Amino acid sequence: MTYVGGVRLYLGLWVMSSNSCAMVVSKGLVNPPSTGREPYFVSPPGAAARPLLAVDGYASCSFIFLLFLHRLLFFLRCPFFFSFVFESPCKMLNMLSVFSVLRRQFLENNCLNVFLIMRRSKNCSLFSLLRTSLKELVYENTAKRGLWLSASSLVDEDLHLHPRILSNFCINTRSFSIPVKRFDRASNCRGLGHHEFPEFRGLNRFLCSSEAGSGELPRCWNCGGAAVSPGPFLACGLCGSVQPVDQSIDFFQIFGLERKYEIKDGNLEGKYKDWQKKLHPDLVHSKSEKEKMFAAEQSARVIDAYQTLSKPLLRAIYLLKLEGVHADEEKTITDPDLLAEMMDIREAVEEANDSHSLNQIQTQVEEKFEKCSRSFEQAFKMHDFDNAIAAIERMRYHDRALEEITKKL
Amino acid sequence: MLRAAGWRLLRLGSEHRAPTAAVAARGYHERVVDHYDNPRNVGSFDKNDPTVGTGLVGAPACGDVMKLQIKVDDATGKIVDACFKTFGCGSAIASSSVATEWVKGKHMEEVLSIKNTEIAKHLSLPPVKLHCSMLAEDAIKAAVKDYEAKKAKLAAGNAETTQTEKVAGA
Repeated sequence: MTYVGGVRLYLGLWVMSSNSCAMVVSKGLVNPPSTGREPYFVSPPGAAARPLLAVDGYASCSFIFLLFLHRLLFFLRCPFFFSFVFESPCKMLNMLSVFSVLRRQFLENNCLNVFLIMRRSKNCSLFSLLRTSLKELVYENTAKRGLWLSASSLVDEDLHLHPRILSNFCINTRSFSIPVKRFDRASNCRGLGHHEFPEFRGLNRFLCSSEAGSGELPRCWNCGGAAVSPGPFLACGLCGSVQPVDQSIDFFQIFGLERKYEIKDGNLEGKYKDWQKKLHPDLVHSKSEKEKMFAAEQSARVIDAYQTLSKPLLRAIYLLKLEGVHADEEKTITDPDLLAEMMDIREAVEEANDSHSLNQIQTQVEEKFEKCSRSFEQAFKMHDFDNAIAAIERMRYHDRALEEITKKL
Repeated sequence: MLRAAGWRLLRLGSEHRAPTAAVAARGYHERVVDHYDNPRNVGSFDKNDPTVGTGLVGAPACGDVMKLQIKVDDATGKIVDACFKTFGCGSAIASSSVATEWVKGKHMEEVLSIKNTEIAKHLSLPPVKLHCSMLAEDAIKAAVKDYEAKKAKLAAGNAETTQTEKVAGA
């Protein structure tokens, strides 16, 4: 047999075998066992540890067939395709086994594991074929349509998916009704890049109604390691990569403080410097564009946090903001006592020309500021937000006066 | 050489004109700068004077304080004089200055119809400074209200004294 003839024979056999495998696999999918409509619960963590390489009936048949084929070709002396033939069955086996596990998890309504499996599976030429078959399955079972869309958007890694679209999918999962148009958009826009981890966590929290699911630790986009040390996950402890900004971590968490007005022994400056040693953009100037962007955003956020928490007035306003109370309204007040008092102080500052009298006024105003500060703390503890806002207004006036004095000094 | 001198003259001329235009486009409007540099009607009247109404307002968001005083002619109800004192940004100072200028010579009812949008338009205030003009409008209203309250109190006081006199006389 000539060499060329051997090649043709091999290729023909290969094509036939892959087609048959695919047919066999998809046939298995079209008639899934019917399951009852269960809500989206994540199974206990033990189920996630199921081994991925569970061999399915179809997988084993195709493997044996391909092994036979490999032997045949060796006999026919086609050495070029030796590794190729051997490599692809392994790939196929992996793919099929992954898919069988995936199918089982999917049918058991195990959303989280579906995501994990699809995320871990690499892009493979057969995978798109399997995805199409899965799509058919999903459309049979309308309740999972939204789930499929979210999953497909997570798996594709080429394009950048806007986080908002993912949140749209989350919302639609709840309503269980997705127009076909949205599905087309999902299949067109490919992938989240590496931004999927914060959104993935959000999605996870959304879909899980049991606490077991929310125990999922954030993972580093670079090395995949979970957050090990306590405290906010701004930089990975294992590989040192800076993580994307998570808006749900508030300023107090960044500095490891409780959400209170008083911060004694907070050592803000020390902690601030520690964070900057890990997050400063100068440290990542030789890394990827993405990491540079993360570093810039994270260090800017840490700087914001430091400045907000170090000034009592800004800290007070931030505390109220976290409670959902907006203190910065542009309204006019006509409280005669406060305003008359402030007028007097400001006039005194204008008239005082020597540093001695200015210092005197400064001490007085600082005392008054302390008093307002205490009253804010009291009001905040009692959740008396009206009084808290009033106290903030007084604090702001005194702060302005102190600024003017400092300018003059 | 003559040409060089000519260019220099021309360049000087254009330089002289350019900065003011640039400043007007970039920063405060020239009217605001004018009110800031040449303040008109800064001062204060005696608070206890019965013909004086004092309006004291503040904006807690930026910590501004504005005091506007009007001197009213009892007979005609016209405002004869006004003065202001403002601690705040340039826009707030300019707004209150403009308010005192517009208020002079008008009736009290007329003055209540001055709107903050007019002040803002006159000074070409940017959107972020619109609350300063609002403050000026509130100051005018507060001053008028204070004057009316004073007048009412005085009238009530007079009525009481005449009553006690009558009682004493009788």
